[in-house]
Order: sequence, then C-alpha cells, then structure tokens
Amino acid sequence: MVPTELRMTWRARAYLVVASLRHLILGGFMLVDPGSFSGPAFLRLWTIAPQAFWTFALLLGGLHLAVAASLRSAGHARTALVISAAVNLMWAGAFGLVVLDGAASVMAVVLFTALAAKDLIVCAQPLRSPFERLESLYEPSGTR
Amino acid sequence: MDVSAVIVAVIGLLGILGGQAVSRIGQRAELRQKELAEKAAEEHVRFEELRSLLAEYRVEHAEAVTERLSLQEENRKLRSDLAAVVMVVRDEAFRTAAQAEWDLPERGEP
Repeated sequence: MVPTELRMTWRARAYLVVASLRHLILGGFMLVDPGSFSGPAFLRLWTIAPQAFWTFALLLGGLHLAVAASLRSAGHARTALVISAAVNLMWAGAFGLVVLDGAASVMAVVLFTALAAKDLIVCAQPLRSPFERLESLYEPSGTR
Repeated sequence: MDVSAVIVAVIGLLGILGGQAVSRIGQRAELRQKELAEKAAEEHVRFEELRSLLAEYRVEHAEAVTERLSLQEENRKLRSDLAAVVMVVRDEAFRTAAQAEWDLPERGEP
C-alpha cells in the first residue's frame, strides 16, 4: 500500500488517462483500419516515417501512460509524458513539413504542438502532492 | 534516408531532451513540496497540541469562573450575616449604655 502522501494526485492521473486514451485510440485506429489514413497529408507523412512506426509509437506511448496512471508511479509518468511530448512534436514537425509542401493546413501543427506543450507543462509540475493529505484534514468532509 | 525523416527525428530527439529538462524541474518542485509538506505536518501537530492546550485552559477557566461565582455568593452571605451581627451588637451596646445612664444617680443624690 502506497503511503497517502506519496500517492499521485487525481489531477495527474486524470491527465495521464486522457493522454493514454488519446494515444491508444489513435494508434488503435491506425492498427485496425490503416486505410482510413490515406489523405494526401498522411501519404506524405508515411514517406517521412512509415505508418507502422507511428502506430507502434502511439500504442507503446499510450500503454506506458496507462501503466503509469495505474501504478501511480511518478517515474513512469514522467518518462511516458516525455515520450508523448516527443511523439506529438514529431507529428507537429511532420505535419509542418507537409504544410511546407502545401498538402495540409497548419491546424494539425498547432494542435500537436499544443498537446506537446501540455505534456511538458504537466511534466514540469509535481505529479504527487503531499499537501493533498493535509488539505483533506482541514477541509470538511464531502467537499472533495 | 529522407531529409524530412531526419528533421522529424531531430525534432523528436529535441522533444525528449526538453522533456527530460522539464521533468527534472518537476522532480525538484516535488521534492521542495515534500519538504514544505513535512514542515506543514510539524506545524499541524503543534497546532493540534495548542488546540488541545486551549481546550484544557477553557475548561480550567470555566471551573475558575464557577468557583469565583460560588465565592462571591458565599462572600455575600457572610457580609449579610456580619451586618446582622453588627446590628445586634450595636443595639445591645446602645441598650447597655442607655441602661447605665439611666441607672446613674442624679447629681446631688446620695
């Protein structure tokens, strides 16, 4: 049993679960229905790195995030978030190159950069807050 | 290898390096927060001790107030009794003095 003060905050766990679902759903679709990613932008993307690489990176990153959320491990969470940020930046960079080719708009670049920034911001914050136990001591029951 | 793939790989590498750097910031913040939490926990224990002490003082204060009221009541009764005694003694003294004066022989009497 992990001591209460060393447990991961519910906010960090929620973020990890959401990030994990994002990776797993996207990677899962690529695995189950790779043909649905056949637009001009994606075709250009697969020339930069094969679709199998993106699928593998997304599924592995998603699984790692899920494991980190499940184990409440700050170490695993940080590693998974760094991988997630790197994958998102690679998506942003790849889409940026596609944008330069004129095959896509900048929307995906902005979105993936923002996702990477969010991962890095969460990574730069404490994932475990020892204050939560003290807060629960002072706050009346039922408010949390 | 395509130049684009190299660029994307470099971006990914930079992402990992940047992520590790911010991760260290987060770890330091976590350690700092843990230290602060330990201090806060100590303060919490001290606070609980003081609160317990305050509760004891409140009980003692309530007992002291009750005792003071009781003593005041007793004091009031004693003063009342003393006043009654003084009245009796004073009346007796007047009576004795009056009787003595009454009993004195008049000037010229044997």
